[in-house]
Amino acid sequence: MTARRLRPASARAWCSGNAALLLIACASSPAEPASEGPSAGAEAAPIVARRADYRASRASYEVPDVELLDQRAERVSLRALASEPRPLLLSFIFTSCGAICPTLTATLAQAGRELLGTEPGLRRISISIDPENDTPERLAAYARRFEAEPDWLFLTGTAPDIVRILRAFDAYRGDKLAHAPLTFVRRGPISPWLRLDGFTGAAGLVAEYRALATEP
Amino acid sequence: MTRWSWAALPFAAGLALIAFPPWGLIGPGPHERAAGDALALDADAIARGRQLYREGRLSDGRRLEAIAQRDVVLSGAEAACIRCHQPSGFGASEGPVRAPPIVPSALPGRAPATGLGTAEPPQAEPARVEGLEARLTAALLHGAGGDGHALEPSMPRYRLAAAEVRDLAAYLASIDVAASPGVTPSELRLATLVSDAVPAAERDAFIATLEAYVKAKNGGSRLEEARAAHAPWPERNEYTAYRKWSLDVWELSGPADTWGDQFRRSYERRPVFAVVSGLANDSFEPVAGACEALAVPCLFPITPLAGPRDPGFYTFHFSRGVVLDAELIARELCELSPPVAEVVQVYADTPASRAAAAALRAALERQPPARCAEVPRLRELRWDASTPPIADRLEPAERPRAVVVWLGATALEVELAAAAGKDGATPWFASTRLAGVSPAWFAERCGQRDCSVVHPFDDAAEARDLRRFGAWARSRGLAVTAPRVQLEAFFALLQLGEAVMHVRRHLVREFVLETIEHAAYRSLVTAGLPRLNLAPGQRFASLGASVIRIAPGGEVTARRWRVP
Repeated sequence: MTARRLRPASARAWCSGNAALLLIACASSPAEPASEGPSAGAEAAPIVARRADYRASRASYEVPDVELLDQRAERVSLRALASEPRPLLLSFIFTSCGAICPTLTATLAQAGRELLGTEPGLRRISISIDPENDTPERLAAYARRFEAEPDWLFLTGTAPDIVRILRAFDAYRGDKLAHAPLTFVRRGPISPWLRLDGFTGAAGLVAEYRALATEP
Repeated sequence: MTRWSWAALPFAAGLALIAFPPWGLIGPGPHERAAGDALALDADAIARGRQLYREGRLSDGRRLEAIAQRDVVLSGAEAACIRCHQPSGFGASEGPVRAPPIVPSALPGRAPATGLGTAEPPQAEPARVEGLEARLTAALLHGAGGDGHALEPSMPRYRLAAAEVRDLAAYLASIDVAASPGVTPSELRLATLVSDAVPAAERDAFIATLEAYVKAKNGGSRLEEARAAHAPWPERNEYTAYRKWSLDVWELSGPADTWGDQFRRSYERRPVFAVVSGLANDSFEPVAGACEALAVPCLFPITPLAGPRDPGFYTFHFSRGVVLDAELIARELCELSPPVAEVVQVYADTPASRAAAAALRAALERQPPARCAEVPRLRELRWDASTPPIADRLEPAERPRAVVVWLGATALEVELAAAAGKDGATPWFASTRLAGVSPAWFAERCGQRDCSVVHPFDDAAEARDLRRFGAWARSRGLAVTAPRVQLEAFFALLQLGEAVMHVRRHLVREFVLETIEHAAYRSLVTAGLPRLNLAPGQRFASLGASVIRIAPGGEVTARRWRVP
């Protein structure tokens, strides 16, 4: 039996055949986990400003009527909170988050401390996106790490309710480790929300709030 | 030479390359490593660097301070490098924020780390520390990257003395290994654990599943060694990631509290990279302690009792096991209507059963008044093969009562049969995990009694996973005779397999564990869980379970996922 050497013609066919397979494999790679666009209930967010490290936009979000627990294990209605006539700073966090939440929470702490001087009615809310792990006790310890003042509520609930809230704010990214740095600012219950996508820094957040507060 | 000799040449070349590999991964032999040891930096510098890196504390105990995003103050643990760059130093991504690897050999332009892992304590080679200090100073104090460009504002700025930067460099150099123990140039050594008290059929199905996966893995990479010899591009190191998996089955015998020592002895005879899955019919706690002490990943053992609330870094658990079941049952007991005045708890003299009973006792005491206006009186009955049936040990109930049974299937079968027709109004509570059975098993045996069982799986997730696992098993010619055990074994293998592919040649245990933390979400199967709670610092995949109510007659009337 003669040893068959690979002839140039068939070598080419072999290469192009494999290239085709490679292309098919790339095209049919599994779909990304849910990184969806604005969900039902959130109007499309027009971009009103684009700064270096973050994006600011206005939106209206319908806050779901869910009952959550705060860091003292007391029940709170999210919709009732959102209806209070108080300025609101809202973020999504989880206590074992490493890269994003400490900075975001420290920002809310620093900016809030400054704003409380002129806005004594300010309310801060941080909602856990890891509710099964983030019990009220864990949230209370987290609040102490950032020396949170009493206005600041850290909320947890059932996993399905948290997903509802995230979808309502167009913040649902599936995996908690895929979450984005987001802060939401609102002057009062009938004002639209200011959505800050990214890191503003403390002075930046104060500036955004004050700019919002001077608008009619 | 004959034409057959010509044909044999590529094989000979391939074999020669395997025996005498030219690529740098293998590194210095034992005699050369000894010379390097003499130059090791002092352990104190490494310890100080470790404290900085992991805890954000300076040598005098003061908290490390940092400024992120230009003006946000972080201090102590929030400022510690480990938060973003991870215990392995290989970094991670979180949303849009990416912390790159900072171990010396992973930095661009540096030679790969040499020397495979050994059990020796970490050393830091001085050559690695020089140059690294300058890079760290530029990054930490001035926010400048390797080529002088500005680092992202997410990277905090620090104020550190030169000595402190040197300590950090020493620590980073000390954790920079090419691979952890259990890795040879051609092999990735793994082990699994099986306790001898597990039914033979379950044991066989478990081992068959592991072997089928390993065989598939090795089959997929058998041509890589040959391909590496003819790689058309320079980066031949990439092919060195394809090692054969080898799997040892280590048996655990006798009482569970001796398992830790048995595991250590097996490991000392033949160190492995990781322990994947494991089938233990009792508490895994002694083994988990050994996994932590030896710094060996122990991935998702199948056990009714995981161990302490804080399991450390190296062991991944499906859940806290029967302790979780007890906490859920405590909740259920408090929500019974009409409220029960007495709870009778039956336990056997095994670690898992005793732990479950203790957990229920503690959980009942801890129930908030809002949920449990009056905590029921708790009576505990010890069970063994010689005690009379439970039904005969209880006097007729004057006030509403519930019975919680922490027993295995054989004992439960006898007890349920003996209790048929007696004290029918008293509901029984049990754990499918501890009994090692399915909810349907209970439905067939509870008779005319109200039964509530805690089951680790979620209905929809379990069905989906069994379909997917079943498809894979069919493709490998593997029979599915013990579905729950086989699914959980498959899940553990899948996590390890995916992580090993991701880390490529950086077969560092901590990096593999961190990869599992981050990638588990996208796993093809979730071991019947509705969601996986893995993340840095989180080692229990499931924090809840299904509570299934079985009405008299065996009909399932409710099935809810609950978290204590």
